Parts: sequence; structure tokens; C-alpha cells
Amino acid sequence: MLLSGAIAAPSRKVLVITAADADDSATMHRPLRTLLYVDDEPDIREVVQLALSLAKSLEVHVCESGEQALAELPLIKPDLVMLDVMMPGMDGPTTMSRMRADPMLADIPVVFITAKAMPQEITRFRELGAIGVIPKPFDPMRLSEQVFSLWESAQ
Amino acid sequence: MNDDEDAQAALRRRMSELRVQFVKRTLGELGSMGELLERVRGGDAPALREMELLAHKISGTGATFGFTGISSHAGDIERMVVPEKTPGGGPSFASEDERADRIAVSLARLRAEVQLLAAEQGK
Repeated sequence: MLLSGAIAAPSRKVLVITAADADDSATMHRPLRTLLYVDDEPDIREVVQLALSLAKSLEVHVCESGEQALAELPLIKPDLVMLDVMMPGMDGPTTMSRMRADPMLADIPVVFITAKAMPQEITRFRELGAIGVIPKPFDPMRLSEQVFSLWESAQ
Repeated sequence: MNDDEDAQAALRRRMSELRVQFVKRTLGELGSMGELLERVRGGDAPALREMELLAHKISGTGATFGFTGISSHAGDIERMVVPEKTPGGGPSFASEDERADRIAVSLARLRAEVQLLAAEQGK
């Protein structure tokens, strides 16, 4: 059992952190404020943007390709990037690899969203460093809840 | 209604509009799929990749909008185009002609499904 207060000894003082202090430090994680969603399919971009906008605290940006995302990431500086896996040109995993190779983008957490969500694919995406995978089809009414849940788990 | 209910209602309305647009657009994309299949029959390797992307997109977006039939038939085409990418092994074919023929059958099923939905939406 932890005790509060300072215990004065002849030659030194000791500060003891209470259980209450520990609880406060556990909740001091970074909030999710800005997200970038990358998908080549315009209808899905719109659905995701509308669905995530149900979370009024979240600012949602969209890009139509990995190439565009890499160009705009330094400007947008999102807290989180959601990547469609299968895109023409630069796919999701390649986009993530390019982010990891750029010191300015390397620490941005990534979530993949994909119709290819078999267990071995999910394992591969996690080994690449993604904090989570959201399978398609997704429920637009629950999408923000899923995203925030993954974000909280990664903090 | 409060703000949250208004936002959810707006999302549902927009989803309904997008569903209609998706069916109309997919009808057009089926023409492209047919052209890609003919290119594949002619030995055009890049056409396979284009067909894979198109089938994947139709399957995934169809599923998102609740069109399970469209998603299923497009998914069949995707698996036949790139069987090596199917977990556990995809379909096998005795020849490229057989693959093209079976893709054509799935494409016909997909077209029938989309045409039926388009007709229902037109009512």
C-alpha cells in the first residue's frame, strides 16, 4: 500500500507517489484529433469521412493515393493515418514503408482498412508496424468507435 | 432530433444515395471488365492486374454498401484472376482459356445481379 507525503530523513527527503497520482498519470495520453484516410475509391472516402465526422472532436482529411498522402502528410501532420491496402500504384503497405523511412513521418501510427483481413494478412500488417486493422465491410455507424478503440489501445 | 441523431440520419441518407450511384457506375464498369477479359484472352498480362484491381474495388465497395451478391461475384472474379493470392490456395485451371471462360461465367452472373438491382432502383 502506497503512502502519501514526504518522509524527512536526517540526510535526504523521499517523495512517495500515491496510488491516486498513478491513476492520473495513466490517463494522461495523447488525444486523437486529426486523421488522414487514404483510399483510391471516392465513395469509400466519402463514407469514411462522413462516418468519422460523427466524432465531432475529430478532424478528418482524405487522400486518393499513397503518393498524394506522402506529399500532404508533412502539411497535415495527422495524429493517425488510415490506409486502404489495395490501391493502384503505391499500395497501403508500401505507403507505410515510405512513411517509416521518412524521419518526419516515421512515428505516425497507421491503421490498415482492408477487405483482405484474413488472420495471416492481419499478422503481416502488424509485423509491418500497424497498430491495427479494420476489416471491410465496416459499419459506418461504428467506425469512429473502432478507430478510437485502436488509438486508445496503442497509447 | 439532437445533433448526433441529425448527423447519423444525414449519413444514412447519403449512404442510400451512394448505393444508387454505385449500382449505376458498376454497370458501366462491367463493360470495362469485359474489355479487360478480352485483353487477357489475348495474352495481355497488365490487363490481369487491372482486372484484379477493378474486381477488388467492386467487391469491397459492394460489401460496404450491403450488396452481398455483387461483392460475392466480384470476389470470385478476383480470386480467379489472382488465385495465388487466395489464402489456402485459390481455384486451379487446366489452361488460360479455361480461366478466361470461368471468369466470363462469373462476369455474366455479376452483370445479371447488377442489372437486376439497377432495374429495382429505377422503379
